[in-house]
Amino acid sequence: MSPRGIASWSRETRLLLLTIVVSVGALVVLARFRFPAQERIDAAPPPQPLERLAARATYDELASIVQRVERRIAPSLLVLRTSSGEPDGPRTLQSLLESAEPVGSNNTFVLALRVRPDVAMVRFTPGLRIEGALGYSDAVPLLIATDPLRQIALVRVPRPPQDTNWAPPAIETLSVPRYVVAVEGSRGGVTPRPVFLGRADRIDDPRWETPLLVLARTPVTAEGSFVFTFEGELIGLAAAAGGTLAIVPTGALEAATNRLLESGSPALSDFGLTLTPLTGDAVKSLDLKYGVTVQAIARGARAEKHLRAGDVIQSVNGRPALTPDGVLLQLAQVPAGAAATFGVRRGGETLTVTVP
Amino acid sequence: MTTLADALTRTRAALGLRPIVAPALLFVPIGAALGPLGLNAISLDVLGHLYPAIAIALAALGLLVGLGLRVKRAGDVRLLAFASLEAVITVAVVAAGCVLLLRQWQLPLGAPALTLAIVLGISAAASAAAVPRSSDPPSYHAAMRMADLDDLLPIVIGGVAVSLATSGDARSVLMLVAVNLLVPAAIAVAGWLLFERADEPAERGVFVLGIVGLLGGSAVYLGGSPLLAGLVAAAVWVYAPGRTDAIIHDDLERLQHPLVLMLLVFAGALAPFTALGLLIAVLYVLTRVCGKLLGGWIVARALPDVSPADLGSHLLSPGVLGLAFAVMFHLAVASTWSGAALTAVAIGTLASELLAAFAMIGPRQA
Repeated sequence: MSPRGIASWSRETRLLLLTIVVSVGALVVLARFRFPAQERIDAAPPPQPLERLAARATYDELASIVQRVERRIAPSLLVLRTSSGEPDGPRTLQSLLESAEPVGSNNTFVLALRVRPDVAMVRFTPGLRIEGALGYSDAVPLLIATDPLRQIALVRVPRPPQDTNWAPPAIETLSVPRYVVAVEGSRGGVTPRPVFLGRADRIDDPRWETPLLVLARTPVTAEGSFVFTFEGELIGLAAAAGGTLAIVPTGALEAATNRLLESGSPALSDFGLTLTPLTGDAVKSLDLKYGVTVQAIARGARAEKHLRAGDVIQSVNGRPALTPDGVLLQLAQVPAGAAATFGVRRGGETLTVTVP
Repeated sequence: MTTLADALTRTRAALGLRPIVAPALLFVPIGAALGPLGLNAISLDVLGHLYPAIAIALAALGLLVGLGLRVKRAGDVRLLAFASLEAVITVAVVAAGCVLLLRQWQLPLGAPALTLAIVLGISAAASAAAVPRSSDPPSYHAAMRMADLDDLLPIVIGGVAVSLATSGDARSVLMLVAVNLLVPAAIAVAGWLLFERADEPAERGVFVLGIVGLLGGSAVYLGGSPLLAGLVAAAVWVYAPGRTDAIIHDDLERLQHPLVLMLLVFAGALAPFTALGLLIAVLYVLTRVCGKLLGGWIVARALPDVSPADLGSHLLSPGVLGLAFAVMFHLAVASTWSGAALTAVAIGTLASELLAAFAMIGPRQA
């Protein structure tokens, strides 16, 4: 097109073309942008007065709300069919008939949350074997990374259908009291149910960077359930912690998932220690308030030449050693090749021991 | 406040800009400054208590749009058809551009990108042309009429979209839309019976206020659009025998400016102004300008005898209705994505008003 030809166009046509060219150019540049992190957005204002008056929902209304939430979150979820493995040893028809469980009964159904269109996060259990995904009969999901410490795994899953608009779930922090929707996986598919949270106390867990939210002593939902708000925003994952059920907040889950995506399955550090809680005698004789006792050290283990049976570990890498499980979990997360520093009471002596 | 507005108008006139009435430029920032993110004079609790008033303001806005239609002549029907075509083009361009980029960005919206894109498209379709001067050619009057008429289709689509967003089910949405058309129509018939028999202006004023409140409140309760409820009621009154439409128009005119002002301040205070919303605002402004100019360009060539050649430039100013759509969706859904949409539309409205002012500088064309 010659400049003279362009000049013959009307002012409106030139303005339109210029605008389209500039806009398309700007959009191409913007398309390269990646949103840095999921941000928390206080978009939802407080309940309005009329809503407060109408908030005495009947159970039917509650059911319809849960149904609506299910539709909203459905593109982010899928149910995986897993098995705990076939029975050991040779099998005959007689042994099959004598077995207490019929064929296929060792299948369990777990819920997975899409963290990418083709990657989903699921609760990890030892021996986890994934056999399929409900609704995707022609593709078998593949376990790509596991984190046994935090009990989560990443699975390569079939992409959602073209007509499904998948979007990463928005993040919500938990404020109580409120109703939430706990979603589990079952043979029938995604199974939501309303759960009332009267309070949510925080507990520290050495596996997670942020405190977990204790739900209740009596389990209100199953481990591995994902918990959403009534607006379909993800609150976290229900997991066992400290002998009770707790919610792992979305931020902690996201950090753990990103680590798995970037670095793959983590190698766990084993210092070969067998630990016991501090006995009352030790508390009295050594005048200690907390610590754990080294009962034994495995032969050839990293700590063999540095720690002794009977030592009382008071701290690991500056953090107080309160329980044997806590110390073992903390040691397991020490990166491969990195040293761990122990605060130790040996006899009446206080030592700092570095185990390379 | 009036003095400040006058001063702004005079400044713009001195700069050679047309005196487009753009209260959003003033009152949305004021709302943001007074809102929870600013001085917190309009706190979240205050915003919560303003909800019923906003529902009524939205219904009144729908009424004013509907009463302004008065499509009674064949020429009006033609203009309405082409104005709707222009609105559809804008919705399509904005929705397509937004859905492409939003999917590319994979933003943490908590909703499908298509939903947000359609809401942005509907909000972008509204336009408010400048009031023509007496010396302007007749085609400028047609442009203003076009800007009024192109609000009709977005209100209807917006009504369906709100029902879809609140019900979330394609099957039940038809029933919900039907209810949201029938209930305001029934309220309008009741109002028509009342107004025609009320002699005293004070008595009539009470009836008008009551009916508008009923329209807004019932629409919110039914999970529908107060804008659509107002539009349906206005359509009933325009085509009903008698002078109900004139009565309502006269009474509403007194309330129009306070309601618009309250809506703008409320929108500014309610918008969360997150980074997510700011990012989407850029996308919104770019696609909206393209959509409006393209729609205007096509319609101007289809109606060369009626509309000005630079029709698209006349339609760039979004007025208050685009913000009203975004506020309505946010009140109905109250979610992350609707907050981001409100932020994008609020910022996009300010940017579009400025662009509209500068687009109108230059040679006047018939």
